[in-house]
Amino acid sequence: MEQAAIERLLQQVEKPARYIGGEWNSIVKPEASVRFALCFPDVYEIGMSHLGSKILYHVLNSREDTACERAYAPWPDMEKAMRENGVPMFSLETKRPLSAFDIVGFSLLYEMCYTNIFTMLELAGIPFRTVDRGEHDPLIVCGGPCACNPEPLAPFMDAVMLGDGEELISELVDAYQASRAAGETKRELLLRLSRVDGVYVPSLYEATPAGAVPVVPGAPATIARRVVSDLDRAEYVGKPIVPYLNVVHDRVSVEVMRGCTRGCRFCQAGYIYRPVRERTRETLMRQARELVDCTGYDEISLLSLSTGDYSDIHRLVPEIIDGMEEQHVSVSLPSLRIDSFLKEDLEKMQSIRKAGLTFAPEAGTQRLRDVINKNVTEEDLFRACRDAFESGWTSVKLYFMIGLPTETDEDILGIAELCRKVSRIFYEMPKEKRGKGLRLSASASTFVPKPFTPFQWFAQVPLEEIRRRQQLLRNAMKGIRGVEFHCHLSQLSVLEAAFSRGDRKLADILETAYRKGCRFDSWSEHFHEQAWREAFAEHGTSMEAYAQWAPAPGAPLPWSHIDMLVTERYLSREYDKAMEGVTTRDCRQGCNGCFGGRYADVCRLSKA
Amino acid sequence: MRMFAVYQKHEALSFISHLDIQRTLQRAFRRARIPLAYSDGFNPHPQLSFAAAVPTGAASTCEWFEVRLSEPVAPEAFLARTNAAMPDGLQLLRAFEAPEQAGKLTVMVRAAEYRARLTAETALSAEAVQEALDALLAGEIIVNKRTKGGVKPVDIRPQIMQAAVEGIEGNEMILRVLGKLQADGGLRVELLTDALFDRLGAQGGVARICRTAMYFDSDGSLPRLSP
Repeated sequence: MEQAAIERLLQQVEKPARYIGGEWNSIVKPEASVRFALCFPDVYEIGMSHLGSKILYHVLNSREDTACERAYAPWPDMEKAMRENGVPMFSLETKRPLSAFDIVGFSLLYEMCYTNIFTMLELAGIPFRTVDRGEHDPLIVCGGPCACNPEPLAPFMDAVMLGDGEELISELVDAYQASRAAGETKRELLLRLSRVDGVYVPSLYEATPAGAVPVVPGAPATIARRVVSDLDRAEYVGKPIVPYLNVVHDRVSVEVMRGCTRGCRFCQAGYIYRPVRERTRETLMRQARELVDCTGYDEISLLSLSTGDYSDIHRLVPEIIDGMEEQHVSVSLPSLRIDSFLKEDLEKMQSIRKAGLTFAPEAGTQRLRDVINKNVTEEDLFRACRDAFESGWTSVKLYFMIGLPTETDEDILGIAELCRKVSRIFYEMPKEKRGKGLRLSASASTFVPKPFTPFQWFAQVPLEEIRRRQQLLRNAMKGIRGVEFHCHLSQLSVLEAAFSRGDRKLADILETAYRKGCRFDSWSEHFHEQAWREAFAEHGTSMEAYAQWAPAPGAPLPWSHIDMLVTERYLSREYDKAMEGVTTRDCRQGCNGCFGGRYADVCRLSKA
Repeated sequence: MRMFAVYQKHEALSFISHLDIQRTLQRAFRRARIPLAYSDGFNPHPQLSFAAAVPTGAASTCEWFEVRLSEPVAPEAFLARTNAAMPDGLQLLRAFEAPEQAGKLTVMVRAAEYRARLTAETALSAEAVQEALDALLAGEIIVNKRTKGGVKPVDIRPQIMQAAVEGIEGNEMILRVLGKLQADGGLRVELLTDALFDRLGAQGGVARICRTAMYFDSDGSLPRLSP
């Protein structure tokens, strides 16, 4: 692309820095045998915050034969300017049109970004469907957590990568290179890719009521996700790019562990990233130092699904805070569990920088917390809040969910009761022992049943009922001192539920919705509920039909051909226990057998 | 130690905002291990301040700023180390220790010079352009200025100290402008170039603006306007 043509567009759009590239540590390779466009179907500030993309960018660019470049969905103003001026979708590093890449890969982090995939492909002039693409079109692939149910995107994707990508993505490029060296056709390339562990090639399968079944010999009946067994020695982010714009997570991230042992039954990440794997404290300290040195960031975040559960957390936190203090680097700990941190750690954090504290009790009563296996008690929460208030914190966030299986009005009112008690704890403390005013911000999102969780067999609670419960809670929250309450847009949760457990028929609906102008659906200002409703109706169904679907345990599911390692039998057992209100212990207290005796080699907590 | 320095930004980096520049410079200093002095208080931050905000979308060869260091660094080392840690399109051009009695740059700044390359969709005649500019400068120049409170009509004529056509070729012309620049605001050159396009009836014109000099009211260590 001509630089001048792009610059003309940049003068017309908001935040032009989204499209300029050239950031510190970005990698420009003029020559490369394979060009891989790593695409994130959302705006730059979101995509640049994604850890997985940073790892893949490093892994791919570490290969001598490969140039990995980035592309993000253009904001609607830029999309319009690009269309009007005939500027194709281009990469940030060399400003190449996407159509000139060998492989175009999309990261799928949430269902509501799917329409943006079309924007990017259409602006690149690349046909949407595998069947419509020719020998010279790029290979279109995807990966990321949403790939675990690939069916809504199946007709558009040549290959889907399942599970951890740091080893798999390189094997995909190897297969691509081998296929090219052998002079293979695209069809032959796809067959070859289907033999790579963890790669699903949808065009080799037919979607039937009994699930997707292979239609060519050699394609595996089930595809198991990949797992990096030694995280400590796995590739990390190298020298990550430092954006100019203030992106959502604008800091150094060190991934202390992958996977979570808690087993919250609503949480997809808790199942699809098992088993838990940790990096050693020495590795984390080294990575923290190297990353701070090569980026210049003054903030570092200890990332994982539940950082407080890291085995060595009480040595890691003080060591990293002390080690970074001299360089004026502050440390933040997202995803702390209420029951797993020390007051001392809090005081340390306080001394560096004041940030908000976030806890996620998820449900308002112990009964419902037992159903969802959120093994946190009221006392845990109160103790954590008291510790925080005594250490001078005044700002606390509490996350809840509405519409969880078996939820009653009593559970809803329990949320308000919990907030009332936290507020009381604050205001009953002597004034000299606490801060001035409490800012307790409570938010309630709408429960979305997800594949590969024990709640995958549950219908989503209908929207009108969700709204009634939200109103009930809003009323109950009134007058609680220091509390602010927010509800999330629930229409969007219905669409999310439809796509998370959707089948291949949703592909047509998705494309129709895109043609009707749907883009950036997770941004409330861009969400066109009506267009989505029309798109579902034109294909003879509704988003409710999908969202409120309650398959019987044992019945085939659209994602039955995907093996995310946790067995369906285990999930079904968890479903039964949820119904009985029986909790399941944390894996660290003993193996619960979620892999059904398989993969003992990758799970150090496995009893097998 | 208090350092006065000048940076330039050009090409794609013209499109990054003042806040982005501020973060980018801080991170470059940290990568270069420049010993930044931090403010006291709950949220210590490096003491970096600019003579004026740099307009988004414009290039510049003369952005003055000052930064406090916790220990002395030779200006040459400061320049070399920082520049080795700067992204393409952003460089330090000068640095020297601020004279002891020097005030804050943002208080002393008075004026700036700009070079604007205007591209119209059709060819321009020298006479027409000169006439349009003369006519503009002869009276009030009321433009709609976007502010926090909405769009407001303002007269930008008092902010223009000098404006002249430097050259015309085909549908391109170069304009040189000297405008006021002070802590409480200054000339926004794109408002003048828009007004000029309007006066010429040249719809769809594009202006590329570069700030080329800053002038201060000072003791002599900083550039001054010749009387």
